[in-house]
Amino acid sequence: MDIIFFVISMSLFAAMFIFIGYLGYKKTKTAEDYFVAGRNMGAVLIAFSYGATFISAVALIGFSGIASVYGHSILWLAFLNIFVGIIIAFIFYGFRTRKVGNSLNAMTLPEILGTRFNSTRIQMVSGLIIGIFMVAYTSAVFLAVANLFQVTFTISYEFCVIIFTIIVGISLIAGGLYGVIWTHAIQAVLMIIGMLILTIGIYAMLGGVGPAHEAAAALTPEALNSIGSPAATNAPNGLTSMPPFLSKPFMMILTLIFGVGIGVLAQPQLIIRYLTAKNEKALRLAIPYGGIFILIMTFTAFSIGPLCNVLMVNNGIMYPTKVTATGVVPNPDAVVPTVVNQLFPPWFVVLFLFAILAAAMSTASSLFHTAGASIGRDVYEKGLKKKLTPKKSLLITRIATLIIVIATLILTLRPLDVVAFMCAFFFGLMACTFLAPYTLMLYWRKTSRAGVWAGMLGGFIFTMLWYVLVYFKTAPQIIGSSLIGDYTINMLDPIFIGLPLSFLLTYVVSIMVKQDTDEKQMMEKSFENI
Amino acid sequence: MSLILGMDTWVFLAWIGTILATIFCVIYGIYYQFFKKSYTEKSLKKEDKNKKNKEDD
Repeated sequence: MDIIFFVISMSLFAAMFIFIGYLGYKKTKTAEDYFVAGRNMGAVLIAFSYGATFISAVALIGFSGIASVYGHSILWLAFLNIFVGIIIAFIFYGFRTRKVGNSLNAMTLPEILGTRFNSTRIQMVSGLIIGIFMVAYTSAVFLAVANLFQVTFTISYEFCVIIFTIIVGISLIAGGLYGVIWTHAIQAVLMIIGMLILTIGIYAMLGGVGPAHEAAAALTPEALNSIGSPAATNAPNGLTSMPPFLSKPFMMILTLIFGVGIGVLAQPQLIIRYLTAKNEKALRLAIPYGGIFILIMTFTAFSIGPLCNVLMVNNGIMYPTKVTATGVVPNPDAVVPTVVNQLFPPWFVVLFLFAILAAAMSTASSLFHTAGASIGRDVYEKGLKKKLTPKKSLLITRIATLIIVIATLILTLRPLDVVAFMCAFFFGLMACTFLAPYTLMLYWRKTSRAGVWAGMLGGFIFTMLWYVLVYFKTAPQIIGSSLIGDYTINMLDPIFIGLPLSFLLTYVVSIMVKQDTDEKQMMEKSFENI
Repeated sequence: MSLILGMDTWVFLAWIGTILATIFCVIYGIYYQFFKKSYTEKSLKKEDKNKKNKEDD
């Protein structure tokens, strides 16, 4: 495929999103419009926006690549994506979050926490944490899609990153959440079509579900070695079996499954979707659409990852590699793009590329929106107590979003490690920092400001220390080697310890330091519709 | 080792669990769309009432 074709299709794609951004701009009159789309969204738009935000190119390319290394055991993550990410998230968090958000007239997660506990400092600190770390996560999203375009169109990585960032930035800054959600609907449809055709195509090539899985199970380490697949050593019981209990591959799967699977509950960019619902019925009816969408995305992506090994062995395609400082290493992120490039017709290669681009852009636009809101509204306007007119408030948030976009661009041009780990890093950090205060705030009337500070900072500090000092993937890069040599410990996601710790701290400190009168008033107000 | 649809028991559990979770989502939606009318009407009325009260305030 040549650069001219890329430029034409990309221009059409970009023009469509910029036009939607313009429509969103016309519709956005108030801060409520910009932050929560006027609290007026129906079930389908909420579900597609939630799903398109949740499922990024990291999930589709990064995790299907990881599935090609560790096998079908990663399907447990697909199960958690639906069971926790949709069922638990909407039923136990969505309805209450919307009611509390409406009662407190809050439009972001930090604003809900700050208003509920009568503390602008809580709002400012949480906004700062979200704003800073979301830049890293957005960078991971762009990294995945730029890699894909580099493999397929052989155009420079830097060029891809700059183009994608500009398109998403313009449509978001102009269109606010209206623009974001409308583009998500189109992007979700593209993603559904792309993933369905890809999955059906791969299973059809291998003779159906049973034969395909049996062919994957029958692959010997020798066959996998012949194409240079890392699955030869990382899936010791075969591609369709769980790895041995507490082995290194088992720990890797465990850490990914729980880091992302549970971490989804405390994602600020997803929590905002609950606040956009026009009523509770819209949220309830979003559940089936969301469930089906996630099934089509992650279940299919994680299913086809291991099957790519079979296709590569059958067709004599070598497992993709990349050059790093340590030499040439396998590149799981390029597995699905390579299979699509080599075995699918050219029209589908283009469709798939734009489906992945849609996945990346939808997640990135939500992240930019949430990070911009965190820095503009939570940190600058509320945290620093600036009295702004509604018009100026919107302008400040748009400027903050622009700064976030530029910071992400700079970080993505100097990429870090494998994309999926940045995704797990962000999910784990958000969960350990916010999930305990957020959950107890929704369900326990006695949660106090001091408890929230303890849970939030305790979870955050623990997670950061874990990543710097212990976690096998990050500690060696930061301090040379992990402080704990035992891999069953250093491969654990911080969520296993940080989350219970954060719950414990929030609970114990709330018992010890009670709510004051102002907090009690806000607590009563937040529960008035529950 | 016995395989179900080419997968071992634990992987098959994840596979079938994902499909069952989605079916639950669909049934949940159908239930609230078609069979829980009294609930949704009640919920909408309550919200309307709250909105009205807020406007009166």
